Amino acid sequence: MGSYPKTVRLRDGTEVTLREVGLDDLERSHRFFLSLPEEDRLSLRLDPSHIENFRVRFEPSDAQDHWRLIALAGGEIVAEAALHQPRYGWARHTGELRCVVSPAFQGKGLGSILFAEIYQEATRRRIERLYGLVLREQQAAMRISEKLGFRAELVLSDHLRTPGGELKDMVVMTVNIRDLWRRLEDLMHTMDGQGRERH
Amino acid sequence: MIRYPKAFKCGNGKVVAVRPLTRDDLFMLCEFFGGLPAQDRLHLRVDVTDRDIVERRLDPPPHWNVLRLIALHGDRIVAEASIEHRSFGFSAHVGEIRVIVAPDFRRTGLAGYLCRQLLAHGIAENLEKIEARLMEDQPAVIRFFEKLGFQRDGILKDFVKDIEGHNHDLLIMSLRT
Repeated sequence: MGSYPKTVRLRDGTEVTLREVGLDDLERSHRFFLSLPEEDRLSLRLDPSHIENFRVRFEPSDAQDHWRLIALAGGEIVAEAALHQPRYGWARHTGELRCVVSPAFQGKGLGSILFAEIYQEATRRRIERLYGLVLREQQAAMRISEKLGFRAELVLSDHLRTPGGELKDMVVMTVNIRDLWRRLEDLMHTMDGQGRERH
Repeated sequence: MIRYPKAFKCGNGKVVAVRPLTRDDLFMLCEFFGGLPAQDRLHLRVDVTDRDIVERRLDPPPHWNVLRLIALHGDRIVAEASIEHRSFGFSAHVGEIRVIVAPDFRRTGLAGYLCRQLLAHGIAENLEKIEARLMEDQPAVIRFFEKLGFQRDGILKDFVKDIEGHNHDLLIMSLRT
């Protein structure tokens, strides 16, 4: 694990390529985020409606504390996983993860594969506590996180304002990295040899 | 728009000048941080004895709006306080406030004065919620923010690692403007 690009086969036999995001992925990545349901975009706290705002993610300052991995099929992005770790300071042992899979690629084990990749990177960076923010109403995302060992630890009320002006609560889901690995191993095991890395 | 510098008479009888921090203040800022008791530095977000980190933080991160105020007594910084928020995005209405005061200027009303200046700035910037993040084992600081009207949102366990490598729980408090 850890060297990219690499090809993985999903539960239904589909092959996707994983690699770190590059500067020339701006438009591809923008298309991907525009294609997502609004709920996912909100949860990612990313407004792709203006490409200028979106460009931030491709600035050198972003790369200093973010690690971004994309999954591609047919030349288009079908999922993205990102890990944010402060470079210094009292939270340097924590990492925020964001993971989004396009609806057409959900339910195939791609999320678990991306979490395993994030786990590897987080371990390399000596992260001890991982967390993610989800909208309080996104029950499905919370259930998936709980399966991976995350638990809802804190509610940030009115933390997000939708483009329509509505305020929404976000839940901070947290996990100890060791607990995440145990759950991931179980999940990978139940994939029965599929969803594994292929060289 | 609040105009600076402003003079504030502290409870210890000393008058300080309050104004935004500039790049020219780096030396004084390092002296201020270096003069804090070691126990206090454990409670700070970054290792302020590292001059590179202090210098890097003089420039706000891209796409963040930051106001950092300092209180000067003569040519010595005796307090530093800041408020910051994202310049765009879905959480641009949420700000974060921080304050650090030299031991001989605590319980003089200075921290409260600085925070009220920053809260007024936050309101002018249309912030609707202002957060404070601190370690759970700082009862005096917690009481200070409660007096300003902040409420406890909750705890994130072991989310703080101090400069000696010990973990602490992170308390998040917030105020609705």
